[in-house]
Amino acid sequence: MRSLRTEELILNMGPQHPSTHGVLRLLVTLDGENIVEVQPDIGYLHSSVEKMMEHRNYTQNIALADRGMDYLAALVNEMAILRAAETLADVPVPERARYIRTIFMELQRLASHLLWLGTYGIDLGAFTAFLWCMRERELIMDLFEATTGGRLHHVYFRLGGVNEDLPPGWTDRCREFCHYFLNRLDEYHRLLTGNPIWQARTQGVGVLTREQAIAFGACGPVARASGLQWDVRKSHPYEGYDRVDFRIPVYTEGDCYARYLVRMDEMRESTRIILQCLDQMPDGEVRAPRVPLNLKVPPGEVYTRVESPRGDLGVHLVSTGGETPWRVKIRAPSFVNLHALTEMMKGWKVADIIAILGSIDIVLADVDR
Amino acid sequence: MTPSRNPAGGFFPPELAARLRERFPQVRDAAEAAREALEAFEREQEERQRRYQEEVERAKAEGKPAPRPPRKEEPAVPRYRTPTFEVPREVFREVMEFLRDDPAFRMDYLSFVSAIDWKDRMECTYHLWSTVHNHELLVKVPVDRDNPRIPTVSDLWRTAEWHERETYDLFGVVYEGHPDLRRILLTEDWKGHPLRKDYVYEDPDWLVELARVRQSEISGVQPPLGERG
Amino acid sequence: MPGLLQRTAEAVQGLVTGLGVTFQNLTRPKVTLLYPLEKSNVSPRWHGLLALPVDTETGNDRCIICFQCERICPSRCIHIEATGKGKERVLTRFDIEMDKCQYCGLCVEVCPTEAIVFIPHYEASTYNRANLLYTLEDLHRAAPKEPVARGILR
Repeated sequence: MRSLRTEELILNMGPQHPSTHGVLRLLVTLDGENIVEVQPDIGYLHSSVEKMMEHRNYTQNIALADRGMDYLAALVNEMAILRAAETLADVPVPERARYIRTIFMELQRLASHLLWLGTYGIDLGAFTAFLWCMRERELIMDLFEATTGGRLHHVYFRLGGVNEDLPPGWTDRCREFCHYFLNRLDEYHRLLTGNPIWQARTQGVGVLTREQAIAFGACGPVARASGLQWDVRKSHPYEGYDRVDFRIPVYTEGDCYARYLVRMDEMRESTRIILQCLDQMPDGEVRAPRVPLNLKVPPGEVYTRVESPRGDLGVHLVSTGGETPWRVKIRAPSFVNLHALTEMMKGWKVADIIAILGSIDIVLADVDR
Repeated sequence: MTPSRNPAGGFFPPELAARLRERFPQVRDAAEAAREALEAFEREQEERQRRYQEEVERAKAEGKPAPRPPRKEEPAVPRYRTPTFEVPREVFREVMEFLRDDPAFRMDYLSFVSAIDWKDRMECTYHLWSTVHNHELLVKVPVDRDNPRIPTVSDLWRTAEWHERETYDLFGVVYEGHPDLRRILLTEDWKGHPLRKDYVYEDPDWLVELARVRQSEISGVQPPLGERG
Repeated sequence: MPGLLQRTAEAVQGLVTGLGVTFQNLTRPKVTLLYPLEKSNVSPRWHGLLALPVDTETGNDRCIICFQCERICPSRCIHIEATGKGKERVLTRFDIEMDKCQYCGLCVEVCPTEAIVFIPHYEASTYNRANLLYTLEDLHRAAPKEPVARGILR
């Protein structure tokens, strides 16, 4: 009998597909059902934020960082830009503002992880998780709205503090939410963690070893699920993170299930950080006096990083002493994690593409910038 | 992981910096050069202050009104809040391999690869970090701005593959030996490199022409949209 | 065998948890908002549309034509022109291109007289892009009729 002739097939996924989480095109080379190679084709959302930042002053760049970069973690982006500018210009930040920033960044992390969990649930066919996560995320959005006036894009942090103080009664609402949320988190675990379908789709799928994670520069939950015990909040503490007690969840399996567990544990730790900050937060000013909106940053260079929900978000700021930066390099966590994806996918089946892609939690605006 | 000793900008132990410069004398510590420049500036300021005091005393002795004090000047010396080393292109590969493989350094994590366009010159930047020792540094390599070429490091750190493609795309730096050097963010028929300071970004002629051609291709026999009645 | 039992128990637990919430919600009051008929309440700090409230005493807005909002706007969507000198100085043009506006609130923050404010309104969508150019009259009309409290009250 003559053997059947087989050849590799190139499959185009995206750029317009709900499960690619934005406009991402994947060129998948298939051998039957098996993935031989994956080539992400990115750039559909490229807006050249780095170039635009060279034409705006630092306050305007905060508004730009909200939108041009990772839109699901707007406040963390603001912090990334501000950390670089404040380090270079030695801007003092009042103690209360530091705590407020910490609280908001952690709320942002919760909101981002909740959206991830919901959409990942949809990717794997669990629709309930999406509705539940959106229900809780809505409460966080209301907390944001009460203070910053925006739900997704805030423009709340400023050079030397935050824009306005918390409205009256906000801390009680936030505390109430945290206790409510801890109960809901247990509910998610009961719904998903033991679910056999969930486990079958994620356990052992898309393994990234620790060595590969370091070589590919993977960061955030992806690196922590591969056994790299690293969190910028611990290794380069900023704002209030060195004054609160929290744990970095680390798993060594490196599969999608480990990434899921890392994010679930992170949500619990984030809630703990918020509660501690609410207890420790002093009264006082929220904005350093005499920091002009068009601050002139002295000439120099700095590379600072913050921990975004997706990983290590770095900003290399080069100033020549003007009102606008000379060069801003944004090191986006999704960009490197997407590169690591090419390695994770090798050898898996077509149906696992979505499971693996969803587990690294990319935001295409962050990849393309 | 113990927190970095300089959490904002990153920390690099001075003894390791000394070892690096002992091994590669061509490597220059940018922060040290800036520090020297700052000291020179301060000496100059002191000198100016001293001369001013002399003038004041002379004016007092002659009974003239005191001269105006000199204007307070801000030093124009750049600050390097992240440890920065300038590495010449000739020893660049050697230095990178040394930084990665030497057990005392173990800079196994490459954060990013990029470039800075200074209008008259260009610098390639690399940020290295150690997952073991938690120290980091910024490596800057001056390259020729008109024909920027530099050896690749994608065989040392896999992550450099995409970062180098991005830098090639946005700055036009050619990485010699890169396995797959293509544009990554922009389309393949894009002209120019947008993050260069001399890039024309408001309706460049080639882009207008390209849009016109594309539109006529799409509309086939019909005239382009703008020329319809 | 115990492994199978445990896994079955975990699977059933997930099912029971999910359906439990469903049945609990059957007995709870409805929370759905009939949107076009009912409007949702937004917070007092809401970044909604921009407006120039008219002062009831003077019959004019409080803009002193300092151009600060025009300068700070990151998307450069505010356009101001004025004529006259000194006390006679009047606004001839105050246009906001709302399609460019990114609701960052920097113009509201820099305004020294709180002439430009956010109003708690969120229905700005239209079929025609030309409608999104808000002129001085539109901005006056959009402002709330009752006097706006001044000073940091929020």
